[in-house]
Amino acid sequence: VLLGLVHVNMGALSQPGALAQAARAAEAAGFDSVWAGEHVVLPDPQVPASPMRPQDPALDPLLALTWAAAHTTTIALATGIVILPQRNPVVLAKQAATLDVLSGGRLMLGIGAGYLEPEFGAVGANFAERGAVTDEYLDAMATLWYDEHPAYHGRFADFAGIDAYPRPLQQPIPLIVGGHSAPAYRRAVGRAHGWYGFG
Amino acid sequence: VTPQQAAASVAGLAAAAGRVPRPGELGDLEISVTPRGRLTPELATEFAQAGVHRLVPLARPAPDGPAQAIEAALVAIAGL
Repeated sequence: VLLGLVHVNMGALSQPGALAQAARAAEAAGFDSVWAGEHVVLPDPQVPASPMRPQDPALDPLLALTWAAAHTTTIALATGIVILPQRNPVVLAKQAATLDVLSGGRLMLGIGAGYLEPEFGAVGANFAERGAVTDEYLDAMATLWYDEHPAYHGRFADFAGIDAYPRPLQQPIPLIVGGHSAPAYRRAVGRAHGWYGFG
Repeated sequence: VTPQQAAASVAGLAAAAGRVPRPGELGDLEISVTPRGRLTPELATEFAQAGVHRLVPLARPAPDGPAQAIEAALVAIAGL
């Protein structure tokens, strides 16, 4: 059985020294990965579906993992998870490739479709169609990472005649799908290296 | 999640595998879960029996949270 440690970007660990210390300790103990979750914003007042209080600190997972990468050498860096339909897929593809390159190929990209409507509203993201958006964004990011001439034409993402370097060091980036819904299971089986259950 | 929830999710993934083709280059699906509560040897065994490949314990949001979670996890999987 492998071991990972979550959430290295939240609560008391959202301080630079604490985050670095946690990542180094996990690496020294033989853990294979540290994990960082995501809530861009939290409902205020807290709603039953929200696992956190609105005042609970949660660093951006990709930035936090980049910080962890700078203080470790071998441990994998996993998002657990990024709420994909709340992100711009072109920008996220760049951020993920950047972290993978800077860390020497240690990124594990965990994604989920999200479930907190107030969070989607604040970001301006499409909550009603978040499943379809998630599927399209995965395809859009894949063409940016792996295709010689990236192009994608969908309902929620549309681009061509562009390119993005550097490509991720890992070809492919290990993809993990989080969530307990039937679409999450389908997505994990059909296109991911792993599945992650939390909560 | 609990070992029972993990087992239910593994069953859900297996059911999905019957409906959705899995590209061969992806290899076996790796199952990771965050255990609910403190990880114990008994729980670790139950998760392993449920088909879990990676345990991702939650570091309590306190200064000593990571150290406690790491120590408990190492003890929990020592016999596996």
